[in-house]
Formats: sequence, C-alpha cells, structure tokens
Amino acid sequence: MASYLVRRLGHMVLTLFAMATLMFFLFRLLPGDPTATVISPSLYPKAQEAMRQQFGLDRPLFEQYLLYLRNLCVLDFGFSFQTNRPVFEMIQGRLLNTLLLILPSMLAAYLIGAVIGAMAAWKRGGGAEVSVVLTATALQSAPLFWLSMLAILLFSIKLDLFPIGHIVTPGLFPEQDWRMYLSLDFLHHLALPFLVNTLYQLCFPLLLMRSTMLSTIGEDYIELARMKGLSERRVLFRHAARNALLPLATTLPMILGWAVAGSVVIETVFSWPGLGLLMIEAISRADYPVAQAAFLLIALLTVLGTFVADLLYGLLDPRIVYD
Amino acid sequence: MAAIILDFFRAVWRGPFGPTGLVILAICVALAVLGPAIAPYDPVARNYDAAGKLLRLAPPSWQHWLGTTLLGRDVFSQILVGARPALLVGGLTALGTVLIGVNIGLISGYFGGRIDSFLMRLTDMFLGLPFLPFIIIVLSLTGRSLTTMVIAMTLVMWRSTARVVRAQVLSLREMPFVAAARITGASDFAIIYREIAPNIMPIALVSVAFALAWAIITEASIGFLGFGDPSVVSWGSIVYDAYASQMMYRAPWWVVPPGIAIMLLVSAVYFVGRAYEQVVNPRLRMG
Amino acid sequence: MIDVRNLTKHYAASAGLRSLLPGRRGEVTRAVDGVSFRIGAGEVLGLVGESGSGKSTTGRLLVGLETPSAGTILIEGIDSAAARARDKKAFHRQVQMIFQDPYGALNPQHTVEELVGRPLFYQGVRDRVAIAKSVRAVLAEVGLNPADSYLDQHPHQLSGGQRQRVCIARAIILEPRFLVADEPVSMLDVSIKWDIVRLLKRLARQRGIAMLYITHDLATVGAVCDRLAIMHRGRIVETGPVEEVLSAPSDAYTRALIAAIPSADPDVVRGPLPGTTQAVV
Repeated sequence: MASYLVRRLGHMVLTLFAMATLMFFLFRLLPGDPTATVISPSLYPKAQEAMRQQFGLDRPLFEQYLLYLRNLCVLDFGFSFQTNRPVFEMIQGRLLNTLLLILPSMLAAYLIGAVIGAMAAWKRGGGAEVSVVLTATALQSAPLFWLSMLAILLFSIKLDLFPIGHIVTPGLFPEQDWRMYLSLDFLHHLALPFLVNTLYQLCFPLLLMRSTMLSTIGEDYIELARMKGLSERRVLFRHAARNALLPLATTLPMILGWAVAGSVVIETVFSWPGLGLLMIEAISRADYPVAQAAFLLIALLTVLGTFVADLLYGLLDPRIVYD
Repeated sequence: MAAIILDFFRAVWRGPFGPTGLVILAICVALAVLGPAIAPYDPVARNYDAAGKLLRLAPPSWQHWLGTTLLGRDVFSQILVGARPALLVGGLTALGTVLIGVNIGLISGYFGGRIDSFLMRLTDMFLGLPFLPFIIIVLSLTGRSLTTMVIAMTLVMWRSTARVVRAQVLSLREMPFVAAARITGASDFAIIYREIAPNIMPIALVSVAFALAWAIITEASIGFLGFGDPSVVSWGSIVYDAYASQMMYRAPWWVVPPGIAIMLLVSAVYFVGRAYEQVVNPRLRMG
Repeated sequence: MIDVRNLTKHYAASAGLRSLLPGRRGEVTRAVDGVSFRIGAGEVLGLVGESGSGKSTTGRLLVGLETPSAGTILIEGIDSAAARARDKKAFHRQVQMIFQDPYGALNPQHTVEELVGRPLFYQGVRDRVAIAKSVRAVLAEVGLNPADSYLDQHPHQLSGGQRQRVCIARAIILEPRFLVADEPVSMLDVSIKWDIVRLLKRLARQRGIAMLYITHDLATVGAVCDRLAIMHRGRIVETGPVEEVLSAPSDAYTRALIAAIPSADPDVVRGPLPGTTQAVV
C-alpha cells in the first residue's frame, strides 16, 4: 500500500512536470519576441533589460527552461503585466473564491443526485423515472453558461431575488479582506451560482446512481435479501444503494477536478472573481504570466482530483491489488 | 463494418429514446448541410423596417420568427446557420478522438509491458489536463480558428476512449481466436486491426457518441467565452454577442433559442449513445 | 513425421520477494520436463493427462505459441526453431492447431467464409476467387454441406459441433503436415463428440497428417488414437499402442487414470446401456 502510494505520487509529480513543460513551450509558440510573454512590453527599456537578466531570458532556451522550473518550485510565477505585482499574490485569493463556489455545490450535487437517482431506480419503469431521466439528460445537455444566464434572467431580473453577479456588492469591502466571506451579502451573491451549478452537476451522479443500482438489482445478494423477506424498499436502500454508492464516491474527486476546470464558464457569467475568470481576463489583456499561473493552478487541482480518485478507488475496491 | 452499422441502427431503433434522438440528429445534419441555403436572411446582415429604421432588438414577428439582435440581425437565420459549426467541430473532434483513442488503446492493450506503461502514463497525463482552460490557452496562443479548436479538443479528449478500449483489448487478446490467427502466420499488425479491432468497434461507437456530445457543448462554451472563430456564426457565439452587448436580459428571444438548439442536439446524441450502450454493454443490459 | 526430443518448458516460479532470497533464485515450475515422442504421417498420438500435467503447454510449444526452454522439435527432419526463424509463414503452413473452445476460437465478428479463408489471406494469398474455392472445398470435406449455406453465417448462428467443424476447416485449409488438437471435443455434447473424433481420424489418414490429440478423457482415445502417451507432472510416464496401454498399463498413474473411467470403448458408451432398452421403449 505504501509503495503504491509513493508510486502514484511519483506519477502525479511527473504529470505536473509534463504539464509545466508543455506550458513553457506553448507560451514560447507566440509569434514575435519570445520574452514578450514574460516581460511586460509596457516597461521602460531599461527595466525590461533588468528583468530579462533576472529571468535569464538572455540565456539559451534550455537554461530558461530550467530556471522556469526552479521558479515554479518556489511558487515564483513572475510579475503581472497589468499591475506589476507578483502573480502569486494575485492568484491566492482567487483560488479560495473558486473553491468556495465549487466545493459546496459539488457536495450538494452528489448528495441530492444520489438520493434522486436511488428513488428513480426504486420507481423503475414508471412515468416518474422516465421524467427524471429525461430532465437530467436535458439539463446535462444544456450548456452551463446558458443555464446561468436563464437563471439570472428569471431570478435576478424578473423576480429580483438575487444580485446579478460579483462576489459581494461592489464597494462594500474595498479591502477585499476575509471578513467579506462571513457577511450575509456574500451568501446572497453565492446563492444563485451555487444553485445553478448544483442543479447542473447533479445530473451525472443521478444517472450513474440509477444505472448502477439497476444493474445491482439482478445480482445474487439482492435476490437473497429479497428472499429473506425484506421489503423492496429496505432491499433497495439498505443493500443496493450502499453498493452503488461505492462507484459513485470514487468518481467524486475526479469530477471535482473537472468542475474546477469548468468553473471558467460559471465564473464568467456571474463575474465571480475566481481562478477561471482571472485566467480569461488575463488572456484578453495579454497578461501572460497571470494566465499561465492561473492555468497551472487549475491543472494542479485537476491532477489532484484524479490522484485522489485513483487512491479512493484502490481503497474502496478490494479487488485492486497494490503490486 | 457494414454489419456493425446495421446492428447499430437496429439496436438504437428499439425503445422510444433512440429513434427520437436519431430523428433530431437527422434534422441537425440536414440543417448543417442546407442551413445557409434555407436561412430566410443573411445571418450577419442588418435588417431595416419599412421606414428604413434599423430593427434593433425587435421581438419575434412574422418577418423575423425569433426577433433580431442589437445590430438588427435575424436570430432565426443565425440559429439555422449555427448548426454547421456545431456538427462540424463536434464531428471532426469525435472522429479524431476515436482515431487516436482507439489506436492507442489497441496498441497499449495488445503489446502490454513497457509500451503499455508508457502509453498509459501518457494517458494519465492528458487526464490531468483541465479541459476548457487548456483549449482556451491553446486557442489564444495559436489563433482562433475552427481547425485549432478541433485539434485542441481532440488532444484532450482521446484519453477516455483510449482507456476504455485498452481495458477491452486486455481481455480480447487472451481469446483463442487471437492464438488461432497467430499460428496461421498473421503479423501483430494484422491481429490488431483484422482480428481485435472489429470487436472493439461497438465500444468505440459508444465513445464517439459521448465525445460528440462533449465536443458540441465545448464548442458552444468556447464560442460563448469569445474564443471562437470570429468569422463564424455559431450557437455559442450568438449567446456571446448577446452577453457582450449587455442587452441580453432585455431580449430573451436572442438568448433562449441558441441554448435550446444546443440542448436538443446534445440530448439527441446522448439518447442515441445510451440506447446503443444498453445493447452493447452487457453490464447495463439489466436496466 | 514429427520428432520431439527432450522438450522442456520452465516458468519462473514467483517473481515476488521470495525470489530475492539466497538459494531461491533458480526456483522454477517445470511445466514440460523433458518430453520426447515421434508421430508418423497419418498417425494419431493421444497425449493424455490431468489438467496441469503440461499436455496443453506441450501442444502450444509444438505450434510455436510458446518458446521451449530446451529441446528440439523436428518436423519432416527440419528443426522447427530454425525453420520459424528463417520463414515464419512457411513454418505456420506446416503446423496447425484446433482449440478446446470452438466459440472462443472463432472471431465473433467474422463470417464462416472469412474465418476459414483468413489463414490463406495471412499467408499472402490475395486471389479472392481462389480463396473462395478452397473455402468451399474444405467446408465440404469437414462435413458442412452444402458449403454455400454456411458461408455468410456468424459463429453465434452455428451449433457447437458446427463451430468445431469450422475450426477444423480453418486448420486444414493450409494443408499442414502436423496438427495439434487440444481437447477438441471436451466442450461438445456427447452426441456430436464421436462425429468430430471420427472426422479427425479420417483427415489424419486421408491427408497423411501427423496428429497430436490432447485429452484428459480416456473414453474417446480408442476411437481416434493409434498410440497413447500418458503425461504426468510434465513428463511422459508411459507410451505405447492404445490397446496395450489401456489393457495392460505398466505405470501406477496410468492405472489410476483408467480406473477413473467406466469404459474406454466408445461403442459401449454410445449404444444404449444393457437392460435399459426395454424400459425406455
């Protein structure tokens, strides 16, 4: 088990390394001066020269690459073109905002999805099941950005229940300090994106729960429980559901990672100052150091997600041997 | 191959969802081919009323079934025209995904050993790539075009197909018919592509369906985020235009139809894919 | 004419931690441990043993699905390892195999015509008309008549016996000199077993094929084999003409095997048991 863990960790580090390498060369693909992606063209020539030396951009490509890796290891992402502040400073708070939006709503989505999925399996064959499956498929097929806009249209504009966007009312917390997360205003802003994301994300666990439960219903131990005279309801929720939860739980970390990656969309519609929005803004302003750092951080979360999913899968499924 | 395609239609035609999906898909394909020809207006032309005034955000009417945009463009025509990029990008991505995924899965599963470890490590790496952000970065660095979009999406999507196919190949390669082919002098290449590949086609077809669904949604999302090909009217870019104009909440006819179009098309793909999966995947057959 | 000398196959016992201990390094499983025999043209040698005795591994070694650790296989006087290295395709034309599970041995996606014609294709024949002609001929030879009605069938549309006939047709289309039949009837119904067994015997005689008939079931050997070799733990413990081995076994293991079957004579098993006829009628 320990050696399995170490090996998986090794793979993860390797994956991150490959991703960082990919980004390094991808950003060098830009036409024109390769240093333009690292040093703001708006600086004075003198200052540009100084930075070129600081980042080793006057050296050969390979040395630049080594320097880049070293800087990444100490979380030195360079300076923003826009604000000239260290990139790391800018992305810290953004990471928290994204996690505050995504984590609770994914947990809620999995809980609700599992329950509705189990109910759908229980009422299998009926009109209720068909309509649940149809609705879930339709929701899953709708683009998230569009659902978000419809929600704003209905709940914010027509009914005036929620603010249209942003994390708090602009100007209320000029310092952007931690106290804003404790305010009611923050929760009020969080509510709508939270609801939309939960509704959208619960389709996958719902459909998965339903289909795994349906496939366990025919298995021997379920038949056995039924023959023992247990009620249909007890058999389903005590036995079938418990076994269907296992494959469901193992997908959660991976889907979480993907949801973080997909947060780009929902953050854009709701002007939610998270990592995804930061990346989009940075790209449209050609602020490459920030864009790259935001991407790498999102990638780190995605990779972490797959890593934990693999571990969970190994822990919960006794058939996996740690050789 | 013909038999597999015939089986595919026979399998999907059962039950209510499969045929519904196929019909919607057929309509979308027809639109993708004919859309620009049957669109009542030029999708990017400005329309004026009888008095010569620009039809800004006109609500639906007999002339303009789905109203007009801020620039006086006909929304209905834009929807008709938008089917082509959605299916083109989705279809090409699904095709590329299956070509790469199936081949990597076949080679990895058949040869095993070092080749397998290397290819699976590679797959894991791609599994860690954040989907949308990666495509956005590639598009913004290398230029926004449909071709780049297809390539970037294929790069991140082949990974799941490869995993599914490999798992299938691992059990197929132990079948006696593989040994039987080997002792008649078949090369590894012949065994992989003539003996094993036909048997993974059903699974590959299922993964085409899911790749197609993902690709269509992703194409729309990219369009919405403003990284689509600026010269193409797509369902995503219609919503982007509405969003960027800041007027979308005053003109629901501009925002609602493209979303419904995407939803219908993607649902249709899911319906067909799931109906076929029910038949192909023995584990799901119970349900 | 097949001449097998001292054929040996060893597997490393376990790749686990124990193999790192001193003195354990050389530990191996001797699946096949110095086996020698000869089969003449048109002759059928029965290789009999329990599962795990190494008889199937022997078969796989002979057709080149596994590489021997030691020993030589001479086919028509030519060393098979050398022949394989020189010309793989030519080697495989000489040696064919029939598998135990006729369903798993047939690719479910192919039709009978493809299944039987594939060996010729893999041998480099591209003349479709010639392939189709050969396929019809061998199908008729293995008793699938009329051949045309089977050409477009898929394996799942055939019965177990028909499937095994297709496997046999595929094995003989290359006109091999040597055929390994690995438990060819063990998964078939009793009613068809004997037809298949007789078909194999007839093919060996008519085509002058040297055949190795691998089985754990002594009941069928009388109908097909000329000689028997009894295998136990990777070694051949007894060999000789069928009647001799069955009536006067010299080895203790052989005696135990024979004691385990009710009758070795196929005609007795096949006909109605004495005393039951009236009751049934």
